[in-house]
Amino acid sequence: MSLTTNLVETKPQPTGQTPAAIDIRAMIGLFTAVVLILDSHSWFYRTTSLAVFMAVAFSSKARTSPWLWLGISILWAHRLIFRWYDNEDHIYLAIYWCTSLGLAYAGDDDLKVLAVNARLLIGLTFAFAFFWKVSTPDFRDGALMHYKMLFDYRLRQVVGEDIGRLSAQQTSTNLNRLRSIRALGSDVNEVRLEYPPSFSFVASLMTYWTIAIEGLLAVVFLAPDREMTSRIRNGALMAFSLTTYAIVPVLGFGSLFMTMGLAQCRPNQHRTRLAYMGCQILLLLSLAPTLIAHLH
Amino acid sequence: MSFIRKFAVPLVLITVAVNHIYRHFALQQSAWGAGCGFGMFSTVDYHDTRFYRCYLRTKQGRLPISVATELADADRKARVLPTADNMTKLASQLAQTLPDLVPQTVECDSLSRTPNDCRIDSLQLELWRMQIEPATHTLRSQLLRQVEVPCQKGFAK
Repeated sequence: MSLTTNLVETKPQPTGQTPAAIDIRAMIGLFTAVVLILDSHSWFYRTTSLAVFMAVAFSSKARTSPWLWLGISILWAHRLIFRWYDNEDHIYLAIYWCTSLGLAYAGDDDLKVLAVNARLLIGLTFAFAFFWKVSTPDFRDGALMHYKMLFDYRLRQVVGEDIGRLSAQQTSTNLNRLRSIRALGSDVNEVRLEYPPSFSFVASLMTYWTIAIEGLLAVVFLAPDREMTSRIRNGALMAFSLTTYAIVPVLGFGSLFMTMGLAQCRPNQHRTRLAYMGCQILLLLSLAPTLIAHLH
Repeated sequence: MSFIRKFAVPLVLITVAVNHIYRHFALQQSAWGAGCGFGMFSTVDYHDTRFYRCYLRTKQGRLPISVATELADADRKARVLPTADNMTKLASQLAQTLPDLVPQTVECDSLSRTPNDCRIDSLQLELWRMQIEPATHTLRSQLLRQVEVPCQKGFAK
C-alpha cells in the first residue's frame, strides 16, 4: 500500500469525532526513519537507515512490523555496547524509541503503548537533563553558557555576538587566549576573557530559561495524562525544540522529539499532530543552509 | 506482557542514566554525551573541552609532543573516562608510535651534552580540564589526571 493512499484513514469514526486525516503509524514510521538518517555517520548506518526509510515509505506492513523496529534496534545497539564512549545522547534515545516501536507493534493496543513510551522517554530525558543542570555548580552560575557563547561558534554567532554584543575584536582575543592554554608546550593555566556586561546578562537569562523549560517539560511529561497537562506539554515541547535546535542544530534530537511528540498526542488532538509535523518540517528546512554551503 | 511493552524501555533508560551519574561522580566520566545520562549542556568540563599535555622526559628536562591522530579512539576514550587504566593505555600506545630514534625536530641537541642525555626515560601524559569564573572573567585549566610510562627510545643524532 502506498503512502498516499494511507494519508486518509478510512476507518469509521465514532459520532462527534473529527475524522483523522493522517495515518499516524505511517507518519511515526517515516519520521523515525528520518531521525535514523540524521543520526547516521558511516556507510553502515546510512545504508540501514535508508533501507528502513524505503521499507516504511512503501510498505504498510513494514512500518508496523515489530521485527523491522526491533531488528534496527539490535543492529544499531552494538555501537552503544562496543563504542559506548563515542555516542551522543540522542543516539541512545533514538534506539530506545525504535525498541519502543518494536514492542508496541507486537500487540494490539500499539498506539496506546507508543503514547505511554513517548511520554515517559521524553519526561525522563528532561528529568535527567534537569538533574544534571541543577546539580552542577558551573551550570547554575552561568559558566557553561558563558563558555558556549564564547567558544561554540553556533551560540557565539546567534546569541553571543548578535544579542550579547560581543565584538569581533573580543572574540578574536578570547580565541587566542584559549589557544594559548591549549597550545603544544604551553604552561599557561589562566587567562582573562573579554566580554561586556550585556553578554553576562544574556548568559544568565539563558541559564534560567534552560532550567525552567527543562524542569517544566520533565514535570508535564511525567505527570498523569490530563487534557490541560497535555496542552502544556505539547506547547512546551514545540517551543523548546524550535528555540533550541534552530540555534544548535542537533536535528537528530529535535526531529526525534517531534516524532515522539506526535506519537503521544491524545486521540482527539488532530491539530496538535499537524503542528508537530509542521515543526518537524521547519527543523528539517533549517538544515538547508548547511546543505547548500556543503554543496558549494 | 502489556507492562513490559509499556515500561521496559523507560526502565532501561533509567538504569543506564543512573549508572552514568554514578560513573560521573565516582570516576569523573564526562557528563556530556557518551554514557547517556542526558547531561548534555550541563558543564564546561566534558570530553570535548578536556585536553592533553604530553611530554617526553629526558635527563635534561621534558619535551612537549602532541597526541598522535591515529590514536583517536584511545584518545577519546581516555577523555570520556579518564581512569588510570585508560590513561596508561593511551600513553603506552603513544610511546609505541614513537620511532626508536626520535627525529631531531624535537631539538634534543639544544638540551643534550652527551649521547646518554639523549635517551628518553619516560612519556608523561596529563589530562587537563577547563573552568570559567564568569564574575572574574577568568578561564582556567586544571590538571585532572596524569600518568607516566617508561619509554626506551632515543633521539637521532
